[in-house]
Order: sequence, then structure tokens, then C-alpha cells
Amino acid sequence: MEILRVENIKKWFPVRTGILSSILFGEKQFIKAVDGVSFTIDEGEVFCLVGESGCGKTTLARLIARLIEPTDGRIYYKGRDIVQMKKKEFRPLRREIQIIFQNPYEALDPRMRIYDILMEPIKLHKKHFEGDPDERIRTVMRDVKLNPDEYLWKFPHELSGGERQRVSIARSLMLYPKLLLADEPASMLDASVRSSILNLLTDLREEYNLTLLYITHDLAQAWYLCERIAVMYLGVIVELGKTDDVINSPLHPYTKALISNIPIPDPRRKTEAIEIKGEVPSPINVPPGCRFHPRCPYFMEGKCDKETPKYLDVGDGHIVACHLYE
Amino acid sequence: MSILEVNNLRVYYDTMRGEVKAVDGVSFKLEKGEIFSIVGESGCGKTTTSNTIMRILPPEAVIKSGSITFDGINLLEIPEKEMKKIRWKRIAMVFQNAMNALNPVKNVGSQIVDAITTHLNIPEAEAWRKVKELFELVGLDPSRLKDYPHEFSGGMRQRVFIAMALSCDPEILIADEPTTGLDVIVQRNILNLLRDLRKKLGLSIILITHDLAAVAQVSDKIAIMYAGKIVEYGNIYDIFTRPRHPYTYLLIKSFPKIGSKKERLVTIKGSPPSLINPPKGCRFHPRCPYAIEKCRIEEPPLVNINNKGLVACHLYDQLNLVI
Repeated sequence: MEILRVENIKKWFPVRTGILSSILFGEKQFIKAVDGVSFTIDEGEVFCLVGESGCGKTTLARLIARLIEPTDGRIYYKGRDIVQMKKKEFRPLRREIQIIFQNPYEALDPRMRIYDILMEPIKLHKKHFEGDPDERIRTVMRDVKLNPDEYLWKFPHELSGGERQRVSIARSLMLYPKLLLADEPASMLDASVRSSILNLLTDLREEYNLTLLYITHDLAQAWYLCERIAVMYLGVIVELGKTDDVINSPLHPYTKALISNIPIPDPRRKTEAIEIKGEVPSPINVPPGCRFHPRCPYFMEGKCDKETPKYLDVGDGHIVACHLYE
Repeated sequence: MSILEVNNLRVYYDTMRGEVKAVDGVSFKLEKGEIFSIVGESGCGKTTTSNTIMRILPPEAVIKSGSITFDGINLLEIPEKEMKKIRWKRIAMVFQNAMNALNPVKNVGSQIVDAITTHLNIPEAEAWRKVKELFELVGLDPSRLKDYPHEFSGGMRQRVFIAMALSCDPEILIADEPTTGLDVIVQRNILNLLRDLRKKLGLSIILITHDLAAVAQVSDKIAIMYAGKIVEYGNIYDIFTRPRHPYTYLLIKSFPKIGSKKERLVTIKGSPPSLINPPKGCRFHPRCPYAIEKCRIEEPPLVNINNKGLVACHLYDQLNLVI
């Protein structure tokens, strides 16, 4: 059953310019961070958004959590449009949609003890909280594999990066969420700690019956965790499908390049990387036609730089936006 | 023939909370023309090691013991005046996050020219010619010499810094986390560039990184550092197929390996220790699933295994760790 449906969502941030330049150059400029994204997530699924820095994946998570308002488009959570909803109407849903941020060093208030950090969600939603708050805090601590007696009265600075990320995860679980948005939760951690966070999320998903939207730049993490992957490039999804389909038989030239460039911790498997020229262009001046065309090795003149490619389903929900497959 | 030899290096930091034993008895050899990687997590002492080679440590750092031999000279004993003849001219470095350190109000070409004229006694016109050559060498378009840093992407700015480091034709290049913070495709390009430069210029390269996957693609030899010490050292193929130290083994197993069978990732309990009071015995023992009583008491020496590499573990010949 579908839990989340995102329809043609857009977020354009205005570029701040001086009065003089706005008079001289007229038109206002926008950073098109997210520029028409659609997808659905089923209940209980782990869905992954993969993309390089600046592709709009974090903006998308913030839109779904309703931390920012979209420029255009619809987001349906369990069939209800949360974009049109009034703040007050949305409040009960806030308990169900939770977000974990990338940087565990900034996501926790340095002046609060772990106990108070975890108490905060209960305080904010106390009318709807049943049971003993202290008991709940201890249970959640144990769920994220932290010993409550040892950690509850500590401050964030006394914790390592991995432990802090566990506290952030615990906080997001306090009110039994349904949909968890995890924005690169493992990327800032050391390698020896990263895998334990990935495994923890896998376990929690089972225990809490969670639907997980996992955001990462690391295809290897996506491959390990997720059932379906959407690859984003410059504000749009270029390919979407089941993890194995996308990783084993990628269609879009960008996905192909991305996969061939993943470093593999095994010198015996020296992969031949597809060379891609240049870097991601600025989201202010998005290339016309296919956004990837200036870097694409299969660029077709007169086609790719003129027409925006349509989404094509090649079977089994494997969707690609590329003129090569039309 | 080894071009650089580090022997029993100890560098401690004096802090308010005590002495931080950042580098505690590190030895390695850099062979001419090889890419040698030092891999470890944050705070393991890898950057301190490289900064000691360059002699650019902050004032609170104290070199307790050791020697760094380069071309028959102990870099730790010569006066600063002599060091200036070596630093940048013979041993150059690309710093971590350097790409954010360019002067924003000066075009990139003249920033490299400044670096050249500071170190070499050549006229400015010649320096500009040199910069043009360097740009071509690192894969940048020489027509963009007069562009400003904000007009360059992250990967291109990293190339500018590599060009700057190569401006005085060094024999050794130290690259501290050169790919951190870059996108995968760009990361790969920068690593390939380093490999090409080694070939073209006969450079010897020390690559400092936390990214085990990245080093697997370019290095000849690697040293794995943990809590201020080298725990394993060897040829890249040996380390990745038959690691001897549990830390190396667990680290390799904790990476999701795309394309192979999906199995639950190995985790390492706890987190790296504080270097003010490192654990007694083997520093990895509180996190090691194989630890025995001896590991808690006695520090394991770095032993040579059939000339194939070095490992510091009491159980190296008993554990059968195969990737």
C-alpha cells in the first residue's frame, strides 16, 4: 500500500541580487534545487534517493518533512495532500513523519542532556503520548543499542559521532513514526562506525515497521539497504527502479558512469570507469533539453540539447529519462 | 631504494586535558616512484605524521623521538633555514580541504606564480610560462589561468592545488585526503591524475586518507593506522586478500561491496579511543572480537611476516582472516 506520493514537486530558491542588477537585468534568477520530481513509496519499503552534492536530494527530504514549502507540486501522505494542509492540521502527522539529519554534531542541542533531548518530542506532543515517558526513553535507548544508565545523563559533547547519531535516531523514534526520512545518516561517521548505523537502521525498520526514505550519495550504501533506488541529477530523477535492476543493468548514462566510478575496496577488481567530463553545472543555469547532455558520452546533437526526455518504463517499474531508449 | 624513511616517530600534543599521543612509534619506508597510502580513521594520527614530515606542526606539538631520513638528511634535526630548501622544493604537500583555501580575490594563475617566485629565483614571465605547463599537466585548460577561484568547481580547485604543489618539481608529493568532499566521479578523476603524475614525473606519493575503497584502486603499499600506531603494513594485494590484523579485516568487511553477495555488514563495537589515555596492551583490544588476556596486558610488536608485510597483533599466526 502506498504511503507517500510525490507529484511534480518543485522548489526554487530565489537568488539574492542587488536592486541595481534587478533593474538592469530584469528577470529574477532561481536556484532550481528540485525541479519536478515524482515518485511513490509503499508502506514498509526502503526507498533510496541517490545523487551527488547539489542534486536536490536534501531539499526533497526537507520538503517531505514540511520543513520548507514547495514552489509547486503535491505531496500526499496516506492519500492526504500535506502541501495544502494548514500547519495545525499537519501537526499530528509530524509524529508520523520524522527526519534524521546528516551531521550528528549539529543536530543535538549541546546544552541539553540526552534525557532532555529525548523528552522533547514527548513534551511537544504530550496530549497524544500514552504511557510512562521515562520508560519510553529507556526502551528507545535500548532499541538503538545505547545503555540508558550510562548515557541518559550525559551531554552530547561526551559522546562519539556514532553515539550521537544513535541519539538522533532515538529521538526520531520516540513517538512511533511511520515514515522515517534519513538524510545521509552514516556519511559523516568513520568507516568502523558506519556499518553499525546501517545495520541498526535495518533492524529498527523491522522492529518499528518503518517505511524508510534513505538519502545518500553513496551507491554502495543504497545497494546494501534499499529495495528501490531513484537516481537524481540536478534537481530531477533520471532513473528509478528496483535496486538490483538499477545497479546491475543501469540504463541512464549518468547512472552507468556513477556505478562504474564507485571505488571498490578490493584491488583485484579494478573496474574500468566511464570517464565523464566536467562537473555538475550550476542549478541556476540548467542546461536545456536533457540536463546531463553537456557531460554525456552519448550526446545526440539536435535531440538531447533541445528536447526534455520523457520518462519511459522499460518493465517492472524500471523508469528512465533518456532519449537513447525512446 | 627508499627515498624517505620514517623511524620510530613519536609526536605528542600538549593540551589542557593532558598529553595526546597522536603519533606513537610510527615507522615506514617510502620507495622511489611508489604510491604509499596511510589509511586510518579520524584522529588516528595520519595527518600529524604527514605534517611532521613537512615540519609544519603547531607549537603545542612535541616531537618525542624518531627520525625522518630524506636523501641522507634527518629532517627533524636540520635548522629551519635548511628545511626551507627542502619544503615545497623537494617535498610538497596538498592539504586537506585545500580547495577552499584559495584567495578569492586573486586569479588562480597569479596565486601559483606567487608560490613559484617565493621558492625559486626566476623572473615572473618565466613563472607564468611554468604555470601554463602545470595547468596542462594536471588537466586544466590554460585559457582559464586568469579566472578566479569561484569560477572553478571543487575538483578543478583541487587540481589547481596539485599544480601548485608540483610547481617546484618536488620528488615527493604528500596528498592529505585529496578526494574528501568531492563527488565520486571527480574523486576517481583526481586519483587517476595522481597515478598519471607518478608515471610522467616519477613522483613518489604519500596518500593520506580514511577511504579504504579509494586506496585500493591506486596504491602500491598501504599502512593501516589505529590510535597513533601502524597496525599493519604491506602490499596492497596482500592486505586486501589476506589481512593479518583484526582491525584491517573488520574494516574491509564493514564496507558494503557492490556486486558481490549481499550479506550483513560486519561492525566494530565502540569507537576509536582517546589518545590521552589509550588502552593498555594492544590499543584495539577493547573493540577486538578475538582479544585474549595477553592483548590487555602486553603491547604487540610489529613483526615481519615472510617479508610480505608487517603486523602488530599477538594472534597474527593463529587467526585465519581471509576476505
